[in-house]
Amino acid sequence: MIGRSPISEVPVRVVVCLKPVPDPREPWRFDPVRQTLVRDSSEGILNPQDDLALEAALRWRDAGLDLDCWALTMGAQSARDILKRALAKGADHAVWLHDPDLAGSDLLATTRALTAAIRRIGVVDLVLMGDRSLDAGTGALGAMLAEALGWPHLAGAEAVSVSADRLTATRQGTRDRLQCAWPAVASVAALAGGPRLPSFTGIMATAKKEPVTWTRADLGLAPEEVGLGGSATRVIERMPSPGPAQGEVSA
Amino acid sequence: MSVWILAELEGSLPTGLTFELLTAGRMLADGLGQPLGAVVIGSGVTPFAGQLVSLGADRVVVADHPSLHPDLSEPYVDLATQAMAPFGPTHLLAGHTPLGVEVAGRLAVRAQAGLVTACTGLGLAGGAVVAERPSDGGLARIGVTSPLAIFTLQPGHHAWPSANAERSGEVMALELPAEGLISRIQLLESMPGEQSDR
Repeated sequence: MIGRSPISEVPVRVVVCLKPVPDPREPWRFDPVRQTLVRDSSEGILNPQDDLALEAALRWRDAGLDLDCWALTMGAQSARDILKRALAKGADHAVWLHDPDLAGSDLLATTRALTAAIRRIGVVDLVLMGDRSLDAGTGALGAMLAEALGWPHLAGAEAVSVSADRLTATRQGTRDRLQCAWPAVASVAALAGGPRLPSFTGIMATAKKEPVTWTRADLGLAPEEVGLGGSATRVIERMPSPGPAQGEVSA
Repeated sequence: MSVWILAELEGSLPTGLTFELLTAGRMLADGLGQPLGAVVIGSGVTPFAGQLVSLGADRVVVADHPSLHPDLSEPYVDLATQAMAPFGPTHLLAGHTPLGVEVAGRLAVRAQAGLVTACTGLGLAGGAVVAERPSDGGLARIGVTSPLAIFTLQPGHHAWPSANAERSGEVMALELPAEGLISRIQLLESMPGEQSDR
C-alpha cells in the first residue's frame, strides 16, 4: 500500500510532478530522427500549471501542515534546473529521472516511469501536478497516474485545499466542489495569487543541494517499458510551427 | 473487432462534440470494415440511445443510473470497459473534455493502450489510423501501435452526421450492480447551469 492512514504522526508526503517545457519566447527545435522536441536546452522553464501545483503544496505547509514535499521530474538538463528552483522555493527533496532510455516516452511510458518513481519514494499521500502542459498539452497524465496508482483523481482543480485526510477542490468549468480521501492525485488548473518566486535565502540555502538522480534501472523498469521502445504511439510526421509572427508596429 | 465512441450529454441532450465523434467514428469504422459502437453513460440517458443509431452507430450500449454524474467519472471507466469488452474494441474516440480525457486516460492505463489526446483530425493510412494534433507549437501526425488505440477529439473539426430514421442497430442496456457505481470522489456542492467545454 502506498497511502497510509491519516492517523499518523509523520508528515503528509506530497509528490509534485514538474515538467520542463521550452520557453515559448525562444524558437523551439525538433529532432528530425526521433520526431520529438529537443529538450536538452538549459532555457527550459517550469510548466506554469506545475508551478501552481508546487505552490499549493508549499502554501499548505505555510498554513501549518506538517508536510514533506518531493519535487519529481523527468528529462534532460532543463529538468535539473527546475528541480533546483523547486528546492530553492521550499521543496524538501528533488528527484530527477534522467536516463537516455527514458527519452521519447509517450504518455503511457511516462506514466510507467513516474509511477515507479512514486512507488520508490515510498509512502505517499498526495500527488500533485499541473492540469496540462504548455508544450504537449495532453491533459491526461493525472488520470493515467491515478489509474496506475489505483487512486482517485481530482482534475481541473482550482482552490485546492487539504484537511485531515481529505482533499477538496473546485472543478474548473463546472465550478462543482469535489472531495476525496487520500491517497489521491490532483491536477491543478488555477490557484489564486499565482506561484511564489524563490527567496534569496532559499537560493543560498539550497545552492549546494543537488537533486537525486534515478535511472531507468533504479526504477526497476525494463528498457522496453519506457522511451520510444516502450511507447504505444509513434510520431510519423511533425510540422513545426512557423515561429512567432513577425510584425511591425508603427505610430 | 469494433470502433467505439464515448457519447457525452449536457443535461438530456447530446453535446455537439458527440455528433462529431459519430462522424469520425463512422469514417473509421467504414474504412476498417468494422461496426461502430457507442457507449452512453449517465443519468436519464436511455431516450438518447436510439438517436445514436439513426446518426450512424451500429450498436449502442447504455448505462443509465441516477447516481451517475460526469464529475464523478470513476464508474464511467468501469462501465465503458464493461460495455466494449465483449465486442473486441480496436479504437475508442472520446471528446477532449474533462470527462472524455479522464475516461480515456484511465482506460489507456488499464488496457495498456496508446492514447493521443486533443486530436484535430483522424484519417487512415495503409489500413492504420493516423491522428493529427497540435504538439510542441506545431502539428504532429501520430500513429498507435497497441491493439487498442484511444483518441480524444477537440470540438469543431468534424461535421455533424445527418440523421437517418431508416438505419437499424442494436441498443443494449448494461445491468448495473450497485457496487459498480461507487465513486471515491464526493460531490459536495453542484453549480447548476455552469458548463465546461474545456
